[in-house]
Amino acid sequence: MTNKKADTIMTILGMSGSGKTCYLLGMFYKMTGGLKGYNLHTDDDTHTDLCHRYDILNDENKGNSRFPKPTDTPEKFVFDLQYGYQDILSFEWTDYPGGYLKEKNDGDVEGYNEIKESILNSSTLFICIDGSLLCGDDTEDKIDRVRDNCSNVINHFFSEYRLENNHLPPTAFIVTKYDMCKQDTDLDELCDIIEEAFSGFFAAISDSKSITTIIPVTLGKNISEDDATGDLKPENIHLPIFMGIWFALRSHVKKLSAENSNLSAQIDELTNSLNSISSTNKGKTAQLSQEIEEIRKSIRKEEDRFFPKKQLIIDLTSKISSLTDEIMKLQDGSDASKKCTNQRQSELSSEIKANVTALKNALEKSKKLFEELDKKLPVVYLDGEKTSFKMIEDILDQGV
Amino acid sequence: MKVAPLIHSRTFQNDFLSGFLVRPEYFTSNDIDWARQLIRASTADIDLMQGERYVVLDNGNIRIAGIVIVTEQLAQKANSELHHKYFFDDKGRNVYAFIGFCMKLSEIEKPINADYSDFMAIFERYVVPIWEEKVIETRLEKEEIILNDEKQSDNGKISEGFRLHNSVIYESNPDLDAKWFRYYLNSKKSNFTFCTNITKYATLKNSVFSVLTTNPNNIKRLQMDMPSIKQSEKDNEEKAYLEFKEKYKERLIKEFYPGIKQSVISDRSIIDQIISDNSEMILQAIFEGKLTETEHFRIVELGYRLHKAAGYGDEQKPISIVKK
Repeated sequence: MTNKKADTIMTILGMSGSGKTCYLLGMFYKMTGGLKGYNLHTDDDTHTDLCHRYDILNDENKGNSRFPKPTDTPEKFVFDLQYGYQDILSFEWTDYPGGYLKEKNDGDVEGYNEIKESILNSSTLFICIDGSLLCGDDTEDKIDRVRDNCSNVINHFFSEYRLENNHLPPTAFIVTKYDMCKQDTDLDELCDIIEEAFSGFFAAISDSKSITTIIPVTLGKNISEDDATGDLKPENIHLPIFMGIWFALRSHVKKLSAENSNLSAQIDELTNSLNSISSTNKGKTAQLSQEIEEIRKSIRKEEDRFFPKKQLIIDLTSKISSLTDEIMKLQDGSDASKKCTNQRQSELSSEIKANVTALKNALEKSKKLFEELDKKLPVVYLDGEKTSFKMIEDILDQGV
Repeated sequence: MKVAPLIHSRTFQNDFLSGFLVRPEYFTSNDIDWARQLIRASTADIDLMQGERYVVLDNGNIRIAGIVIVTEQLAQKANSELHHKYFFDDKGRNVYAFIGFCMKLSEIEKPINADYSDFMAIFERYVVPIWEEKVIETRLEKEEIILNDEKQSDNGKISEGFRLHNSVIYESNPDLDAKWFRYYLNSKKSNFTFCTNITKYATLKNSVFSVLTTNPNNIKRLQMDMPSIKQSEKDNEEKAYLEFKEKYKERLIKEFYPGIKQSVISDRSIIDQIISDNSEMILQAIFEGKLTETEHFRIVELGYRLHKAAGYGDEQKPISIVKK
């Protein structure tokens, strides 16, 4: 695990053996090699380790031993998604063991809390459904299998979560090992099964703006058959990551927009406060000048006397001098406030400028991701209703 | 010697249980949490592991020893003819496990030995009968496993280690690891955690174990990455010794000799005197594992009795029995 702090968190959940780790390895391999200008980057050690694990997965001579072993330890990775070798966004990918979802009752409360915390902080969730559960002809049987082997545990977990938080982050149902069930199902049936087995995710709840999608993926045609000797040729494996990054970028854009509004408000506040200081100082200066004029008159009057009181003239002159100092101080104060305000305003303007550049950058990059997602994502839901990715974008745009 | 089984493994259809698949019936919840954290750490980066990892964990009361291994490989190494169905889960994946045993420190009399056959026997006795059960729960077991005495006389340190923070790191290879395992299995030290064959550099750097073995390349990298390690090693060792000394003194007074009333100043001062008379030399020896706590306790007890018999109390300065 690397110690770098990521811009966003993505959490992948699924029962033991549902293909979470294989998905990670396939995704890493495909994205490290680069795809449409995008690539994944990580630290040297993690890169070497993941490459080595991918090599094992790629070794058809190993039979079943090529697949990652079932573990009970979570693994965290930090990746940078790059476009043209320039960082777009970094994300933490946490691969929890399937058993963690049951731990609350079994004893490891820390593990259970850890997973809850991770979901709470995730910009996107991925739920792996084992494609081998979708083999056969009977849709009802398939729904039952998905319930028994996945949704019964996951639904319980999320109903508790939703009660506490009233919303869920964008969620992708990744149907892994799709090559195993491809002959026995199609996209419509997949949707029916997942809508039924995970009905809570598709319920329309006002103001929840729950976004879900279904993405079938495979590591290679018939990779598990004939003693696991099939070729490794990942398909669609980049889509969940693109989706996750797209939502993270949208959040980033939203955050930058809010920051800019806040910075603009600060600039206005500074201008108002400077104007108010100037006007107060102006009033005070006029008052002091008036006072000086009066004193001067008194001095002239005293000088015109036959026996002028020298001490009084000295005192009055000294008062003029101190009032003049006060006027100067007010002037200096105004100048200093002006200088200080101008400097802060200039800093804030630079921040806004930088944010606008980052915003433009994020929007431009999210546009590229959007094109791929809009073209390739098979199905997207908003509050349980099938919709297009364009519609999702429009709705999110309203919030920016 | 009789020991109790401790197994952390999945079965054909069931995930790892956080309270272990099999554990000694005398485990407290603290023992479970402590062991779980360390045994999980010993199974880190399992897909990168070549061969096996040996583990010995000691918390001052109990000692756990075991092996982390792909069960199919264990069967091969132990020449077992167990059916291969016990080595793969319902998804066809190779299964690994921590297979070990636990003993109470107070009951250890002689050095013992454990090899592949012993671990395989534990797997066959406790895991195989429940392998295909649909629902499993943690099984609590008594001390029913009999292990042989260690016959090899040479049980000294094998090589010099490299210190990193509070850990000592030794070079790893299958032969050396097995030797280190025997060494720590029978070590007179207490409060240590030992794990061999750590592959990943990041895991090594952030390891929770106090004694580890790893490949020479990782050791070289550590040496290159941390030029100031020697000073910090010295500081840490001194700190660890001071902490140990304080804790040990407390234990000696509070736990070992419950007959001593803490409120009686004369009794406390006798114990303090005996400890301080011999402290540095004896405590250092215990810290390094050259003298057992039991041996030292006996010395203290004897000193205490002699002082009392001689009628030393509040007004009289206690004598020292064990000279430097």
